[in-house]
Amino acid sequence: MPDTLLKIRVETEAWATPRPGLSLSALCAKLAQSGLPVLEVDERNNRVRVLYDKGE
Amino acid sequence: MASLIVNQGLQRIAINASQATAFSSSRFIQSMSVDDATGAFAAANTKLDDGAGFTQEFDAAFDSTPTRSNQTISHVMTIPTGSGNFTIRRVALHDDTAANVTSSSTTLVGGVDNQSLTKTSDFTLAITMRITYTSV
Repeated sequence: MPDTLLKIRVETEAWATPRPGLSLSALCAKLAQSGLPVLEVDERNNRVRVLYDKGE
Repeated sequence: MASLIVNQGLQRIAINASQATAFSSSRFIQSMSVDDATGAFAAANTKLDDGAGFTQEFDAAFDSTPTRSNQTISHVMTIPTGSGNFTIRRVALHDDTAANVTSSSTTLVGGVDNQSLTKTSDFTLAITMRITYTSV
């Protein structure tokens, strides 16, 4: 029987949605300018993923 | 390791699961925070300003009741355009209401550290933290 019985993983992700009046592409440009990586663009939901930590 | 459930958080989870001594129906994982501390979470941490470099934080209640899929619990918080506008280094969960969460409240459950996410007023930020409990 292993000494460890339970593994706990904390996975974190964050999505940015542009403020009213700012387009998704304009937000992407601003994020790129600030050095923040855009990991995924979700045009259907008007948002971009800016953080994904699998916790492993 | 970038993510960690601290000992205090493990105690809260265990106490509430078994309704053991010190159980409180008002103390459960119910809010989330972001802060700019550069230090990593450590098992002995009980509050946000235990972390090195901490100067500011923002906290809020979850958007809705956390959801479960098998052994995974998902928690979601949204930061509005006018809040949390600093470089987010850590995201944390707390076992008290957002009104009671401060830099020095002993409410820390755990979270993720070592991030670099510059929040601005150009966007809202929806953060999801999923805790998965796996038998090994």
